[in-house]
Amino acid sequence: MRKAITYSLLFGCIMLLILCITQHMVDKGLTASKSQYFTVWNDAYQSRINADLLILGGSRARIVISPKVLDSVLHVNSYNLGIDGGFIPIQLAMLKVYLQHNRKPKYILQNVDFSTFSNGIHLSNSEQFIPYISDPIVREMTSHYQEKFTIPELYFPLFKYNNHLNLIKEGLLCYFHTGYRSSNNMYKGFSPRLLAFDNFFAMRIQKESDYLRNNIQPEVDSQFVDYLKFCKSNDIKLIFVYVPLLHDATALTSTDSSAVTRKLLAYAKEYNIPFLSYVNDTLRDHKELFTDHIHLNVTGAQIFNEHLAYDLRTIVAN
Amino acid sequence: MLFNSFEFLLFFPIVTIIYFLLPYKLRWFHLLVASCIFYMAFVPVYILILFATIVIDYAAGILIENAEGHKRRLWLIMSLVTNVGILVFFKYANFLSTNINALLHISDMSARIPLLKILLPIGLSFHTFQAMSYTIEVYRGNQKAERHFGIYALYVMFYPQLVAGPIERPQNLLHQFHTPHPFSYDDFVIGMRRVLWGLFKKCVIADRLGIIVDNIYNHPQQQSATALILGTVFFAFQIFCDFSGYSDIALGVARVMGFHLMVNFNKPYNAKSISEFWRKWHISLSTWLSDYVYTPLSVRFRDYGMKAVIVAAIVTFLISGFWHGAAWKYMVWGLLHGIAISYEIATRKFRKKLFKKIPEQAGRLISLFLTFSYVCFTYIFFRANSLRDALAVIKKLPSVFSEIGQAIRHRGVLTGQLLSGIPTMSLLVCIGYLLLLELAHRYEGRGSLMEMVGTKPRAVRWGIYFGMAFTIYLFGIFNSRQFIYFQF
Repeated sequence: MRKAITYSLLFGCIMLLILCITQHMVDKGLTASKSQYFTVWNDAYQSRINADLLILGGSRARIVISPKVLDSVLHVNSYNLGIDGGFIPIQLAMLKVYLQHNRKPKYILQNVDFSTFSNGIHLSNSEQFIPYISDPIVREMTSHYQEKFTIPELYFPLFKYNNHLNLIKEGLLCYFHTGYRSSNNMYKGFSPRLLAFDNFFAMRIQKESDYLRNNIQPEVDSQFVDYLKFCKSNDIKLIFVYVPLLHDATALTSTDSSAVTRKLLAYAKEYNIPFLSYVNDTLRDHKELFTDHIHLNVTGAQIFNEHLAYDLRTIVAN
Repeated sequence: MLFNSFEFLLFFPIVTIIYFLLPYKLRWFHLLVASCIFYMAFVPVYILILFATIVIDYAAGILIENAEGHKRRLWLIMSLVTNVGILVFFKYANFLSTNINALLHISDMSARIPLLKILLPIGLSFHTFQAMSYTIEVYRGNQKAERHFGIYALYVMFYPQLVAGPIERPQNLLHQFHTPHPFSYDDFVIGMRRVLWGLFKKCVIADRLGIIVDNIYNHPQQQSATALILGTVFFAFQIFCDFSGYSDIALGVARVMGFHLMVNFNKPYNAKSISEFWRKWHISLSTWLSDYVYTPLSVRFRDYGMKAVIVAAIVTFLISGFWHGAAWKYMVWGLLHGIAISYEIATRKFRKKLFKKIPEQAGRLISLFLTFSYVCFTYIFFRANSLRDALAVIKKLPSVFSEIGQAIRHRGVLTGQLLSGIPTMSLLVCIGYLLLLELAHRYEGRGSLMEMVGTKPRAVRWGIYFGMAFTIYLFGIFNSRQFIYFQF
C-alpha cells in the first residue's frame, strides 16, 4: 500500500507541478498579449493608460469612438475602455480595475443607449476574463452571469483554461517568443470594424429572447446611480454620448428606448452631465456606414468621431 | 455523485484508504455507509425505496430457502411483484396514465388519471434487476440465502455499480464481500488504469460528441440528412463511450478495493451480427434477460420449435426496450432488435451458405457494415426526443444521396449547408478522437489494452498515464453531464 500511495503522490505532485508551471507561463504570456481580448485589460492592469479622457461603454464605444481623433482635436490623452458585450456592471468592473492601477481621469465619456439599464444573463466572450479571475473585482462581477467561474476553475491550477486551447497556445507563444504578438488593429482600445453590413444584431435579437431582457433593471439602475455619485464626489466630469444607430435598430429591441432616454436625461439634469445624443443624427439613414444595426463601420466611425470631437471641444475646454 | 465530478475525486481515495486501514470485519459497514453517501448525493430521500426493497428481498431470500414446495414459489412471486411494482410505480406509472388518458380522450370520456409528480430514483432499473436476480437464484438453488443483512444490503448498494451496473449476479459478487481483500498493488494499478481509460472515454470523447449530437437531435427538422446520419453515428460512439466509460470506472474502482465485477462491453461495434452485438453490448443486462426471460420462455414453449424461439426473442427485446425507458420509442428500439435477432435465427443456415460463396474478408466487412448500420438505425429511436422526431429523421434519410451529390458539385462537403451549425473544428476534433478510439480497439485486438500498457517500459507507461490525465484535465468536459444510462 505504501508503494501505491508513494506512486500516487508522485504522480499527483508531478501533475500539480506541471500544471502550476504551465499556468504561470500562460498567465504571464497572456498579460503580454496584444490580442483583441486582452490588450485593454493588460493596459489597465499594468498602469499603462493614465488617461485624461476615458471612454467607457460596450461594443458601441469600443468600435465607434476613436481616441486618435479625440486626441488630435482635443489635445488630450484619451483611451477607449469599451468592452464587447459589456453591460454597465461589466463596464464598472473595468473602471474599478482601471482606477486601482491608473491615474484618475478628468473626463469619462460614457456611452449610453437603449441597453444602458439592461443586463444580460450571459457573459459575452467570457474567455477575456480568464487570466484575471484571481482579481476579486473580476470574480465578483462574473459571478452574476451564467458563465460564472466554478470553484475548480478558480482554484485548480490551469483548470480555468479547460477547453481553451487557443488561450493556452497564445499564452505560451507570448511567454516563449517575446517578439510574438497577436495581430491586432486596435488603437488605445479603439477597435473599428471593416466588415460589410450583416444582420448579426437582428438575428441575435430574434434568436436570444433574453438578450436584452428588461428595459430598466433596478439593480443596474442603482449601480449606475452609484457610479454617477462616485464621479461627482471624485471630481470626474462625466459626459453622456449616445452614438448613432441605424434608423430601425431600436425597433428591433424589446426595450422601451424612450423610457431609457427619459431616465438618462433626468440623470443628466440631476448630476449636471452634458448629454450628446446622436441618435437622430443624419448618419442613422446611411446603411452603408454601418456594419450591423447598432455599430458604425470604420468609415461611419471616422465621420462620427469628427462630429463628436467638434462637439466635445467646448465641454472639455470648460 | 457522478464519477466525473470533483466530489468523487475526493470521495474515492478517502473511502479506499479508510477501507484498507479498517480491520476486515468492519469493512462491509464502511462500504455500506460510503454507498449510502454516494447514493444520497443524488436525491437523499430515495434511499428509503432502496432500503424497502433490500428488506423485502433479504427476507424473501431466507423465506424461499427455508420454505418447501409451492411456498417457495409464493415467496419468490411476492418478492418479484414487489420489485416490479416499485419499478412500475416510479418508472412507468405516468407513461401508463398518459396512454390511458389518450385512449379515454379518443373514446370521448372525460375521466382522466392524474399524473404523479415524482422523480425517477436514479439507477432504479439496475438495482431492481440485481435484487431480482438474487431471489431467482436462491429459488433456483444456485445461491444460498444471505443471512448477514449488512452484506446483502451491500450486494444491492455497492457504490461502484449501484446506479448504472454492471447488473451483478449473487454468485459472482456476494461471496466477494465475505472474502478478505488484502491490498494488492497489481489490483491497484489495473484498477486505476481502467478508471483513467473510463474517464477519458466519458469526459473527452462521449461528452464532446454529445454536444454535436444534442445540437442535431434537438432540432432534427432543421437538419440535413447528412447531418442526421452523422449525428446518429456520433451518438453510437457517444453512448458506447459514455456507458462503457462508466463501466470501466466502476470496474476499476471496485478492482482497486480487490473486487472483480463482470465485464460489460467487449468491442460491440466489431460484431458481425445483431446476436453477436448483444453478446458484446451491455453484457450484464443481455445475460440477465437471456437467463431469466429468453431461455425460460424458449424452453417452456420448446414444443413450438422455431416459433417459440422467435416469440421469446421478441418478448425479451420488448422487455429490454421497456427496461430502458417509459416511452414508445424505446419499445420500437427493442422491437427492431427483436426482429433482427429473429431474422438471424430463422435464416442462420441460409446466411451460412451465402457467406461461403463470398471471400472471407469481404464477408466479414459486409457483416460488420450491415450490423453497425442496423444498430445505428435503431439508435435513431433511442436518441430522438420522441417517436415523432424519430420518424421525421427516418423520413429525411433518403435525401442524403442527392445532398452529397449537390455538395460535391458545389465543393462544400464539410463546411457547406450540409453540416451548417456544426463548427468544422469541433467536427474534426471528434473525428480525431474516434480514430484514436478505433486505434485503441485495434491495439486491444491483440490482447487487453490495459495489459498491453502494463507491459511497456516505465517511461512509456507513465507517459501514457500523464498524456491521458492531462487530456482529461484540459480537454475533458466537466459540466455535470450525467451518464446516459443514469436515467434508466
